[in-house]
Amino acid sequence: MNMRTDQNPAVAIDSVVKYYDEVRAVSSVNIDIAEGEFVTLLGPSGCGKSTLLRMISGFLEPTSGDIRLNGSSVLGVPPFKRNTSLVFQDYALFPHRTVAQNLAFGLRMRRTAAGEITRKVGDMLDMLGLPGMGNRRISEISGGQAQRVALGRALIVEPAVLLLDEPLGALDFKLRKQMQSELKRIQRQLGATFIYVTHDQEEALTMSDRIAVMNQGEVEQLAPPEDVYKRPATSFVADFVGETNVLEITVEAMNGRKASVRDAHGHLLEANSFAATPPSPGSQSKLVIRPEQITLKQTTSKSAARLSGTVDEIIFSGATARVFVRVSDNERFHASITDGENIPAISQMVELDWASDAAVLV
Amino acid sequence: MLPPTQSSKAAPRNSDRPELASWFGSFYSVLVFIFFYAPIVVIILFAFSDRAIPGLPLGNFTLKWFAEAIGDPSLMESLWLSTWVAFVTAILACSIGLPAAMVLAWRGFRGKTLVFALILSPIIIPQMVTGISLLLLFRQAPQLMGSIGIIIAHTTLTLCFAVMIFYSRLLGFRKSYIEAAMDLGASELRVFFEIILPLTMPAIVAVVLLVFTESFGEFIVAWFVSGFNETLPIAIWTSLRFMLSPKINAIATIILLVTMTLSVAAQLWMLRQMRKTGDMER
Repeated sequence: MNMRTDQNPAVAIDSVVKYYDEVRAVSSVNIDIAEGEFVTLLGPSGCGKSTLLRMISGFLEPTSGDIRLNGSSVLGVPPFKRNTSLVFQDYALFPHRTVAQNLAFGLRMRRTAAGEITRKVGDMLDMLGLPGMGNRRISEISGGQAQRVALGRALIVEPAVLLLDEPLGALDFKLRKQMQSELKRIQRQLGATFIYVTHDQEEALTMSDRIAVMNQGEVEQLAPPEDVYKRPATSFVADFVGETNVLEITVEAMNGRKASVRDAHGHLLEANSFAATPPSPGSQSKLVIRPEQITLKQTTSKSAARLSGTVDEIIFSGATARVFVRVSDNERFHASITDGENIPAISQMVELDWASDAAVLV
Repeated sequence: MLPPTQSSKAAPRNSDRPELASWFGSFYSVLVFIFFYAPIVVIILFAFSDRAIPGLPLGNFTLKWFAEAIGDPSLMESLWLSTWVAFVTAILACSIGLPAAMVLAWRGFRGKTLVFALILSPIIIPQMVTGISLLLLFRQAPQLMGSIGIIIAHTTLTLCFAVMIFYSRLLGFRKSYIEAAMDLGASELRVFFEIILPLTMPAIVAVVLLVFTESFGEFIVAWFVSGFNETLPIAIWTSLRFMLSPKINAIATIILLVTMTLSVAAQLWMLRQMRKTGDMER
């Protein structure tokens, strides 16, 4: 992959703030995106991710801050003069034009020569896996094909950055999976810069080089998928990306990233902190542990060293079983146990164990 | 809805009720159509009858009334005037109505309800009142009386229909089409000609047909503002005051034929267009 980290990132989002009347939709977001990078803006609806995307494409202007494409500011530049392409959630394929005419639209607006348009449209149809479908009407193609045409129509003008607004949302599960890998393949093949907006954490984890997890207009964490999943910076990130168990704790001592913490039952546990400013000893904090990191051991009595509880629910789901363990009246842990391991029985007492670096302070 | 014959086929044979109901339904529909079209059929029949004073029983078949109508220069002059006045009115109604509907459908602004009420009010104002007020108004500018006056009057009369037809079409228009076109490099003017205009074409055809026929046949307001120019309805009315000539039936038959052909052709075109582009909301 062609990732450069020089002074001019492909896209620079610099202290961007957006207010709708009195409501703050985006507050002081900073993201630098390198050429050829696949960055996902991930967050729940209303977190400001689509607003940010529309500011990059030019349909909205930031209240303050700057957006630069290849080093030059695009503030005040109308959408039709910006070198960005947007793939719409509803595809927005022109129903009065054929597949080929849709693909050719951007080139035609740029006054590309007719011969070159024909050649580029043909190449694009091949790359999208739609050879010979150029003369089809938009009403005659399937949802998955429409998705590809929408992608191709945006890519054919070779934009500085391709913006995708939940483009797979309308597809069914199987087709979505297929299009995820297809999108990634096309992005690698072209070395294009992609900014992808989604609320689907799994989609973000599968495709992105980096994920910006957004909440209430702010970026909570900007990191590669593995870091976002294994080393969440905040409890929101831990909760939004994947499933997690949360334990209220008090920090006893810090040693660099390593922490000793004590839970409400008096157990002394080890954990890691990846926050920019690690918590100070004595402060209240939260410990998060992913369900698949937890192993269960059958026991007969409560231990002083480890958390224990009784199994109160088991949900079998194919390759894994989710085992819910009641630790106290108001705390329930769940562990994801791979089939073949020892699955405990309901109301059995178990001890919960995990590797010390699997527990993260947020 | 299934046509009655199919639904009765699908119904169990032992029950006669649905058959009776559907038979009665068909009979009733036929009565309604007779009620609608009988007067028109009478005009067409009389146009081909050689009796100088139209009436029953029908005389022998003849085409002489058509020859007479076409040979009448004043009648032909009014036909031509009515045609081009209706045509200009249709173009004006579209070019004023479409931008107005775009603003009403896509922009939020203060006093929108008031604007709607003002646009729709010509429907409830009696045409007699519109005619008299336009006549008073044109006394300030007598040179506008005549064809220009009729065009202005008919544009104001039909604009409310035009705006409402465009408005309902544009409400269902996906704004992402416009945004996608802009995003791909189309300026606002190009978006209008490449996206908005082709996608509202069925509504434009509907408006042109409606406004054209309305203006072509409108009598009351045109009578007030026409001055010495006679549109076809005025010419017919004037000639009826002297004598009931069968050539009027002939000219009416020609007009019927032309407008019905036009309207059927437009319907077919719109159906084909819809099948081609699929549902716009998809």
